[in-house]
Amino acid sequence: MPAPEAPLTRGTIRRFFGLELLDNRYPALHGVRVVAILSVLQIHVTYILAGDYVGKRNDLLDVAFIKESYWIFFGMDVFFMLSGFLIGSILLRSLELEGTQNIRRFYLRRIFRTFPSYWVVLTVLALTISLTALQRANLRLEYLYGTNFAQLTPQSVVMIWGWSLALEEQFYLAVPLLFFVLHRLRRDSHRFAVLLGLWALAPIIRLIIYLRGAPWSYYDLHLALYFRTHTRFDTLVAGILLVFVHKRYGAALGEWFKAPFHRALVGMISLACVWPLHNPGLFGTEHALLVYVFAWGTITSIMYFGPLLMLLQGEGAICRFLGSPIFRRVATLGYGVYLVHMPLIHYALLPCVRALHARGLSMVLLWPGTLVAVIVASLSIAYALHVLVEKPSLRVRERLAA
Amino acid sequence: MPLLVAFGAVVYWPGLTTGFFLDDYLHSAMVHGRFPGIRGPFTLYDFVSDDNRAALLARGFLPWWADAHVTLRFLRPLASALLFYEHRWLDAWPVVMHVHSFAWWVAAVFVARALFRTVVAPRAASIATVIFALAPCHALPVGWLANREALISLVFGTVGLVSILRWQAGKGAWWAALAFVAFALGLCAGEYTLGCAGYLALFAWTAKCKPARRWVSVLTFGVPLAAYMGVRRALGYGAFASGFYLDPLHDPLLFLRHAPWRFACLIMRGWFSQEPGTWDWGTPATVIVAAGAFVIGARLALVHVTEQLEPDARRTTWTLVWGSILALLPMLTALPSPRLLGAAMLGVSPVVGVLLDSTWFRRDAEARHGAEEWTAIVATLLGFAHLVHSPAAAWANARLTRTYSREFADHAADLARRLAAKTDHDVVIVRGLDDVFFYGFAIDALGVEDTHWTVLSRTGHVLCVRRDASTLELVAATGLFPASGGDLYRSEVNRIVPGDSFHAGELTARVDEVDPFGPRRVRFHFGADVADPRWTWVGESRERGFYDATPPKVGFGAPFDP
Repeated sequence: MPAPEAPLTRGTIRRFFGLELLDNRYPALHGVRVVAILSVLQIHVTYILAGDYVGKRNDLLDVAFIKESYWIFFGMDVFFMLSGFLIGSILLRSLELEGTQNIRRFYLRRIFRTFPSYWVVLTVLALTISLTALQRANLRLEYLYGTNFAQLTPQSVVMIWGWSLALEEQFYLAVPLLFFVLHRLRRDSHRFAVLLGLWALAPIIRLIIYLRGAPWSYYDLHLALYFRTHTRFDTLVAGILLVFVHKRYGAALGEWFKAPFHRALVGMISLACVWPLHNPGLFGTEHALLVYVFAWGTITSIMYFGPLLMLLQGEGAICRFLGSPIFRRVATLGYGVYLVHMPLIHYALLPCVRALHARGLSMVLLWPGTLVAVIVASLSIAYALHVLVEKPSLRVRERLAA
Repeated sequence: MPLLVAFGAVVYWPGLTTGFFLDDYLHSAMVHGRFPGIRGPFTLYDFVSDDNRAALLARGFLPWWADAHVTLRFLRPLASALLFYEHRWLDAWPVVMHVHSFAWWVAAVFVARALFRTVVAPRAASIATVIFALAPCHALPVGWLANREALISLVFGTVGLVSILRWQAGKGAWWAALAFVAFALGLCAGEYTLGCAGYLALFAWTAKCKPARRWVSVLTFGVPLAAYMGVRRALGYGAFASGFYLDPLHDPLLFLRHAPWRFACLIMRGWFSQEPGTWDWGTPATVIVAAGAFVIGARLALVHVTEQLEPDARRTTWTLVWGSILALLPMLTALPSPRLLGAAMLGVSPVVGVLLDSTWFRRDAEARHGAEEWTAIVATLLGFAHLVHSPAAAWANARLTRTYSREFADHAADLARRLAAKTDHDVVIVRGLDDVFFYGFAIDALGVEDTHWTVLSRTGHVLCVRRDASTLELVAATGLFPASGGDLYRSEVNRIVPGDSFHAGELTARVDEVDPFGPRRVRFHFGADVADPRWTWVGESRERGFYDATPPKVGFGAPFDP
């Protein structure tokens, strides 16, 4: 008589192996997140295959192709905007429903969502690769999410790509304070003014650093401005601004966006932002570095703001496509994919590519092949991380939060 | 229109404030008798021909690798005559000459507007006029005096098309006569008028008029064209043995081999405001594939839009599409550049105007899925490409031309000062840029006469090894000149092979090694010790101008950087 036991077992197994899917209030944003993940994966494939990761450019890839591949890196800014938006919407909802931010719950959610997988991957890497003295010295900083304030070279830190996670975590420390201020303000116009002022502060800081430190090389300017929280918080603030605009004007904007010309107008503003990002020497090569000061955060925020607002309306074929269930699943694993993709490319795929290239296989096939391989492999490992680390920690979180 | 002209003045302002640039120095030299060979009002575009090739080579105005038969002669008597008298009277005031070029741009915009109002709806015509007026194809003709013929031929070609449409609509015979005169004048101004032939043929084919009117339409272009080709052939005009210009009648196979890439580049620039270099990932095939993908995407949207148009409007729209494509065919003879796209823009602008008008301003709100959404995306991309990117690119191109022109003038003045202090004016350029062969004329104009030039290479980094007192060996990573990249003075048909020797004055160049990019190791034997003080040794760099490039000691080598 074992039959009654069977459905229970299947259910348990299904629960164990099933995904704890992300919140689905804004389905199109899952698709956006997947596109951003792809943009980051493709640039890191190029970065490692071209030899730039270890600071020795080889001739595997064409220089023009490398340039085109690199400028799509602005996918990282989408991550920041989405993070700002999602954190902002959580806190705003909490304020509206409960009249308080419930900071304990907020931090519990953040910690148990992001810390365990990161620590697991960092620990595994620290134990399996031979660490340099600098990496060993910086390891504590990495565990404490301070990577973006370390010297950012592969020889100095174990997870160089952890800089963006560190930046987000550091920003989260300040977000409740920001919401406290916003909540105390009585008028929306004041809230918008505060958010816009904060958003504009980051480029001012970048500009001051640029003017005080000139003349710069691209490399030094990149290190000084691109990775630090105090120079890069504008995209995250733009995400919070997006929450307020959507909340306050969402319905009116929905009507406004029904006119094709209005959608085109927003699209053209975004495309106009793409241009200086793609061609920073547009206003003369002598001003290219100054363009970067505004490109890294200001221009990208403007570029993404309009399209994200449109997607939040939930209309149109693109919105429906980006809201496909498959993207929700992939986006759920996105964090894990981000954590594991770099070592996968560097330690597993690069030797294979070199061997195949030595046998005469063209990079026209090997580059996309590597990209597909890293997508498949990192999704698989991310799934394992999700089941074995993320889901149990989420359960602990729920218990503690309760 | 006044607003558009004012905006055009802003966009092309850098062009209006540009000095002389490249061929302008040649034209000035021709008019003032400093050019090897006699040139008159109608022959300023007669650059290299049998009468002066040897003299140009002897003075070093042609490089050592120039083909023994290279010919660069363009039949543009009208444009030539205008420039001849301007250089004679206004040589010191290039800005006045640029204002003259700008006036041709204004005329081009006015006649293009008349054409667009004839073929498409008023709002689409307005959009098309803006697109046409601010297209990057006008930046160089406004900023480069020697290229003004592109605007003049475009104006007359467009007048011809407008006239022929009126003739086909049943208006009086004098419209056909006007078309005949306009096309004839256009061809006298330059070959760019050939770009209008496709539109004319398609208009004649699709016109709803009597067959006689159609035939007369064709003849208004056919007769002047036949006359033009006859004169051109009889007087030996054309570009031969050049890699930059490919004559389909002279080298049909070479022309066909390069045509797909050149065509793809022009499509990308004209229709999508895309820089082909962006899509050139190490092989020309990537540009062709990218252009194909862009065309398929745009075609889907255009089919969707034209399905909703009246049959006549639909036919006209597709006529303009095909006309713009046919307008590119004569332009495949030259290395792709935005300046070749004037005639193609006569079709591109109204078609994009129709697409934007139908997509952005339609009254009935459609469900946003499938073809509608795709069309809206394409409209946004094309709207950005032509209404935002193109005007800014036109301004940037004009500004870049002005920058190059100023740098060139500064470098020439600097070298002239150095040469003025010497009795001998023999210059050896170890490595130069693509403008290196124009310095002789610019420096002549500055009062340093009887210069003699020896340009050893036109490339990036070179290593110079001194074999003996009078012999140098130059080694470059990828060819000492762009043999496979459209070099002006040598076609890739006449390939250089190891062991080939070239003589230019006292210089003998012997090619030791060749790679797919061209000769990469060449031994130069000078008639005397290279340390002879009569020679001024320099290298050319965009940033540094002319820098000293003293040859190394015997048995040693020295690198020279761009």
